[in-house]
Amino acid sequence: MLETKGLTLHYGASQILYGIDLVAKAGEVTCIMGTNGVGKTSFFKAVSGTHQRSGGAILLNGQDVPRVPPQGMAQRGLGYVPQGRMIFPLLTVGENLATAYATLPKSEHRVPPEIYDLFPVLKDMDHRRGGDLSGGQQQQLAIARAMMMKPKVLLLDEPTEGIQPNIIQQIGRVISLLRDRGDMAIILVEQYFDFAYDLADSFYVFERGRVTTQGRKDTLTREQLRQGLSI
Amino acid sequence: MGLSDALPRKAGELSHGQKQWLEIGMLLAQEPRLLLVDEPAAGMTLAEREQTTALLVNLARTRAVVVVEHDMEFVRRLNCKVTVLHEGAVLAEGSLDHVTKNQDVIDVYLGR
Repeated sequence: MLETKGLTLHYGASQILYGIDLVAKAGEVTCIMGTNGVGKTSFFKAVSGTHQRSGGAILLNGQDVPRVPPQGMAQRGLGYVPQGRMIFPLLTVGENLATAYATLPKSEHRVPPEIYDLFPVLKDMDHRRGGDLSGGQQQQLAIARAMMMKPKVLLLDEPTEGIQPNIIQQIGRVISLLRDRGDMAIILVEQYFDFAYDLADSFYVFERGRVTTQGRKDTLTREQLRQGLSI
Repeated sequence: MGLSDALPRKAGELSHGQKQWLEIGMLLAQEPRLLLVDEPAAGMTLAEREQTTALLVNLARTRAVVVVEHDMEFVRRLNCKVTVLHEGAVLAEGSLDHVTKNQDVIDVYLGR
């Protein structure tokens, strides 16, 4: 489980996040929604240590996490699939997956067959360079690379952006499957409303760096959430 | 482009949608006869996407516009001829309704 309390973040002098309180439980998909520039990606940067928070607390399974660099967060079990995928373009598919070994004991330095079961295309493309893959294939690689670390918390930033419909459906199935295993907290930032609503168990709507609407799916209808998003 | 109020602002401060419109505007300044637009809807909010389809439809009245896009609702609002490519060849061509009923297109692209 991941929890943030009063999380704040600045870029230089400008404040981006104003005290975010959020809980993401294991076995659930927690969805963050909101228009562009409201701080969704910045929240992920703060949680992943890519950009250090300026105040507030981050708790992983109840344990306070100090300010650590991204590799420290990865070692603590935080997987991050960034917007734009950030595949290493000159490394092969296999090498991209192997970057996750840095967080694993030597005995686990191999690609679990499950990864190729979920994303068969990655097996066919093992020796291709990441940069030569299509956008959809890169997105699958980015999710697989994060899964390689066996994370306790998985951050997904706009995983459907620019992806063809049948691959979006496949990504949706993988997210459901990971949720149903029950041991991973999944936080999803997503603009594709119906995709997000169908997958999520609870919602946080961000506006100008603050949470303005929150609730669980059983208390928040599609229409109420749309209103909260003012779309 | 709907950016006249934003003229004095730095480009980097604009919203994602506004940046896309600025890019299109920069191309229009060259008065192109052909405009190629690669996935304009990616990362846009619904309101921005609607504004972008209206803009592209308007631009297509005076020049050729070719759009690459995965968002079927966006394509529907463009109300244009659709070509589906698969592995470097044309798989189907016609109206959106025509190509989305094509079983090959469903199998390799649309899913479900």
